[in-house]
Amino acid sequence: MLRIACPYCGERDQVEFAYGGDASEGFPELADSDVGRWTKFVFVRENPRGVHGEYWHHQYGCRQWLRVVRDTVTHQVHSVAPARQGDRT
Amino acid sequence: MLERRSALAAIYRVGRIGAGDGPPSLSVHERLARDLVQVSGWPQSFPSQCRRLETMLDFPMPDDGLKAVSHGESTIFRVGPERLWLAGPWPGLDPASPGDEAVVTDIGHSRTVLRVAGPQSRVLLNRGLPIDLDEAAFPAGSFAQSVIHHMAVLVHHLDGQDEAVFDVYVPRDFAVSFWQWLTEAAEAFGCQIEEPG
Amino acid sequence: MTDQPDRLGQGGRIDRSRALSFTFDGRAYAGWSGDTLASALLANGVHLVGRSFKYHRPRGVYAAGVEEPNALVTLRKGGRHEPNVAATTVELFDGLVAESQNRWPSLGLDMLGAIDRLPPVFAAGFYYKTFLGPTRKAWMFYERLIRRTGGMGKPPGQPDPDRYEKAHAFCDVLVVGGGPSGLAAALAAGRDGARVVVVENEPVLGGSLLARPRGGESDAWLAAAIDELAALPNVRVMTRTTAFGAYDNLVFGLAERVNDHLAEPPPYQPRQRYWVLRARRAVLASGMIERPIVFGNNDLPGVMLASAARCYLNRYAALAGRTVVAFTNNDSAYDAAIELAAAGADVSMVDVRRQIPGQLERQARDAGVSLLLGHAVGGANGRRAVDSVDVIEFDAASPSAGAVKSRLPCDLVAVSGGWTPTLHLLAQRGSKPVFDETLAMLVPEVVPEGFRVVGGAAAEEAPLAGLAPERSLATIAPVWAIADPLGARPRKKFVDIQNDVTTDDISLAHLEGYEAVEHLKRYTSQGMGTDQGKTSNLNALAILAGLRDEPRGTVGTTTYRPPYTPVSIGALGGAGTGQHFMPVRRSPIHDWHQGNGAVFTDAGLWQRPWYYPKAGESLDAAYVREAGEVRDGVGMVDVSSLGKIDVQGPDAADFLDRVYVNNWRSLPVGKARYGVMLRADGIVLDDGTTSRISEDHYFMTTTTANAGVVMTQFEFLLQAAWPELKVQVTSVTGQWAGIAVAGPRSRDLLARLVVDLDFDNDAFPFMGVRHGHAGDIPVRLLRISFSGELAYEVYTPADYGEELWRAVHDHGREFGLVVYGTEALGALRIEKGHVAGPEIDGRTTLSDLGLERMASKKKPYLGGALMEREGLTEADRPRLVGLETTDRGTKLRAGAILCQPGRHQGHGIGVVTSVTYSPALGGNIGIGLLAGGMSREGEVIDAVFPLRGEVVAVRVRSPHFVDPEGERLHA
Repeated sequence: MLRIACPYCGERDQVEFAYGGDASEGFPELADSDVGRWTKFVFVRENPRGVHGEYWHHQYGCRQWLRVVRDTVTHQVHSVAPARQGDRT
Repeated sequence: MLERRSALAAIYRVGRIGAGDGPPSLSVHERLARDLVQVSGWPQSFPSQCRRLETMLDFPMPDDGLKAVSHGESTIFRVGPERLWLAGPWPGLDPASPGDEAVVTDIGHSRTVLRVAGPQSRVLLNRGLPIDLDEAAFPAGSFAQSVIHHMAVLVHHLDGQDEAVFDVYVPRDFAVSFWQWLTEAAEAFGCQIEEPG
Repeated sequence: MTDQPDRLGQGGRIDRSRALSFTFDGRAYAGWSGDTLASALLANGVHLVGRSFKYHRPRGVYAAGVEEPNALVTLRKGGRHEPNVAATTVELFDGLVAESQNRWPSLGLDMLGAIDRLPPVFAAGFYYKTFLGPTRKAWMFYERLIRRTGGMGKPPGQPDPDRYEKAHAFCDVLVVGGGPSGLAAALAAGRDGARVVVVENEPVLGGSLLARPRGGESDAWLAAAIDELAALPNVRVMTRTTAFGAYDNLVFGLAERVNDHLAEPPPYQPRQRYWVLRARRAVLASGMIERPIVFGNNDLPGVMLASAARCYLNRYAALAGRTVVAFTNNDSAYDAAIELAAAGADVSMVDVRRQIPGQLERQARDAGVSLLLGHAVGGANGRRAVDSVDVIEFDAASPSAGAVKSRLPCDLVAVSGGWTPTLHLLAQRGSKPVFDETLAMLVPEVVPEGFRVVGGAAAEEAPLAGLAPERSLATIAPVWAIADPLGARPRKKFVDIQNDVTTDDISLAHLEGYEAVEHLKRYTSQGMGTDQGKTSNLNALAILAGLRDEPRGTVGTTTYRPPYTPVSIGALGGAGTGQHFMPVRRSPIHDWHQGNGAVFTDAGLWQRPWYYPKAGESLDAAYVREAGEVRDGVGMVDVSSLGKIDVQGPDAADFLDRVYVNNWRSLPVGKARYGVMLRADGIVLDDGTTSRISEDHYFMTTTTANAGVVMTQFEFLLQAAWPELKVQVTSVTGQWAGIAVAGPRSRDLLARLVVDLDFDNDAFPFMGVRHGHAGDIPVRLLRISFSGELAYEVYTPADYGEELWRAVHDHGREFGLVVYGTEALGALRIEKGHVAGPEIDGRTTLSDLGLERMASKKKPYLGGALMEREGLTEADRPRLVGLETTDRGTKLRAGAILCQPGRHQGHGIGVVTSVTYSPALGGNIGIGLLAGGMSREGEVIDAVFPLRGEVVAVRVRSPHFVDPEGERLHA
């Protein structure tokens, strides 16, 4: 079971969170009508064996969205930061 | 005269439930008709909003999402990075005044509050709450937003009490289900349901 | 009740001050407190306890712990009936009722034992090769018969009357195993002040020390350790508890058998409890489990593990046999042999090794044990119990066996082939053990972070300073199976005793190409029983390695998965069963509905009034009446479950513009507007009505089902996409009770109740928002309509909800008010042609739903870009239409596939999404999605429901069946 260290609430069980998908793509500008750009954001995902940046929503806690770097093989969580800090790696 | 009706009105029964007949190691009662006001803002301006509130209420705001501040029966929780819950009467609070850089939302009817007290209160809550309630990990004043059996809860370890006392805030529409969960779990210990108040 | 013929007069760790009685297969027996069911049966001379899985061969007690493969019994009766329980794990209690399994008509005479004598029709994988003819359907015939013979115990037929609990725990150090190494680790951590949890399977601490003769030095050590741990407030000792699973982050699943040892749990107490424990460190002190050497007929009752025979003797004072042949390849079995001899048994030791340590040989001879070194047991003889063994000379270098040299009479064969450390929890974390050639056992290779392995589990020989070590492990001769003796008829040699897997099965699997260990397991079912191969896994993989002619280390092991031992579903379910599986959400007005005849339905987790039947009314009659009376007069329905979100802040209008497809900046204070929002992929997410309460404050409603989804979407957008926006969103679904009052007389009714508001059409127009009071009750009114009638939604803070409902209801008498539920609510909105959940199903676009004109061309909104992608703009996408049955009386079914008349194939040309009987039209109607949409107006097509073979003719028309011009809305 994952334990995620929410920056506001402390380390909590996975059950308090909802998975929010891949976080590697930045959210496109709403005014950007380019179908290709939006398609890439909505549908195209790498599926790495290893380190993965993803969103988790602390649904039953502070309801903050978090950007978590997790290893998809070992499930080790490397880092947790609020999503709005907006750092894409 | 307008009266507030608790979500538990139809099922709340004062009395002893569950195992044993000696002095109960648990007591539970509903805290009725509590005020609950949410003040929320935005990163740049929230610190100054907190200072304004501190002046208005003559009371410090909490720094983080781990410990609440309490004054008698009133408590302030920081439930999000720019979100405060003011629970209980705060006479100085003027809803209109936070101004441009904060918004106020009255959510006083949206939660049912239950007080759990007694030597077994930690054990009882840990039947469903995945939070370390040990004294060292969750000292008096601590609070946590978490989940019990698919119901979002806020659990607050009250300050200034002789024994372990916890307030549990649960969404009103789950109140009956939560009450059923709580009282069934409490039966194993023997529990006194006290008058709501 | 018989005496206990095989119970020694003294000794053992049982409590002879408390006599117990129990029954097995209807016969009464006596035992003592501290017995297991298995030890009590042995003490009573009961050696036949079951019939094997496939061949129905007679079986006896084999082990003394969780590794037991044979003695599976059914306990208790009625709702507590429990099949497949290992008798070696059952704490005996007074009045215990146990039955053997898998036999008919009785244990002694099992008709299915005939299977054992059939030629190898039932070898591994038989169902891929046999019973496949004469026709292709033949297998299904045989399968039914075979299925009835499959399985072991029978499931219970009545509900379980007991409670089960779940609990969460946290600690610094988890110690798995209460034997000497575990207790030592717990003492060290406990003395250090750490929060320690010690988990022990058995009802008492001691582990391997309990198998030693009573009165030794280890007893004093154990008593002192137990006392000290009990006195440390930071140490919690959990006996009768199994750590069955190790998960990420040092999270463990524990199963506590709180009251399994009583006939009934005390009032309010649970039978069992499931713990989720989070530790900072874990110490694995789970010991080792003995394994046998395989030989012919090694499954006869009376053949058991040497350590088990020893345990029954020393711990339970039960003599498993009086004429004993011990068979081994290592030193440990000598303890059993020597101690059994001291208890008065006639013991011979057959050891495959030609040489053994001198001290060992001396001790054995001094005890009167006859030694046959360099020999092996080539086969056991007997019908329902072992009565002799065939002994052969053993040469490790030779692949085939010699001829039978002698036949030794015996009633107990105590066999030891070595030991296997119990490393399951480590392996569950991905750290598979590796084979150590010297010790001939699997040992830990990589120890995951946070874990430490001690004692037997770490293959340590000297567990504790000051305590006599167990026998050396290093002198073992690796021997796994003995071939049939030369000239003897072939006998089944069981590797996995529980699943009846023999050495021939393993050879067959290898021959057929199933030579990977994972394939071997599944093809033969070795290791797949309730014992999970605890006494057979290593032998199987060693035999496989031999067949593959490879070192054992390369064969590897299968994947270890929780649970380590069986866990009851009841414990995992805890209190969350039946009505409590999921919590229920109730409206503030719920109690009134309950007390006034409502029949409820589930809408997600909500319980909502479905209809309010008058005496004798069916659902159909009720909803048709309710809907009809709304359109004729006025009705009220509880809409408190709708999602409600407060959107506040200087950028609130900007935010709404971004998430809704239509315009919001222009909405004045005091007005509401219908809105539709899309997902980022251009598909419709939800619809609702949003009101502007003040400059920076909007009150949004969503559908009941999507409230959470929309809220989550908003939080994501405001935090991850547009953190610069000054907007706060708050769920206020529970803050407000909501009542829809609908119908031509709704204005008159509300004007009577909310006297401080002007309800004139000019003062309070359609889509207006007003605040007032119903008596003392503060109310917010939205003049919006789901039904297409003149209607208002009336909101008040939830604690006033019931009082408001009563006030509206009381005032409603004068107007013939009807109370209606969700079925009538649905009928009304379908008549109006309003899309709802069945149409907004995650696959439809604005255009599909006929709402494309809502989309603004002046501002960007979420989903706008992908809404225009090819797949979503194809001309023949199904679009919203209304449908009416050509024959008024025929019912239409939601989900029916729309097809060209007579051309019922493929996916058809559309689907029916919502249906109802329309009181207003006096016939059956529906709405649906049809390729070509309204361009097919007037056409008659078929609505086909293949599951029931129904075909209904329907005419395509506008989905707005009632008041299409909206006159009633604006009245």
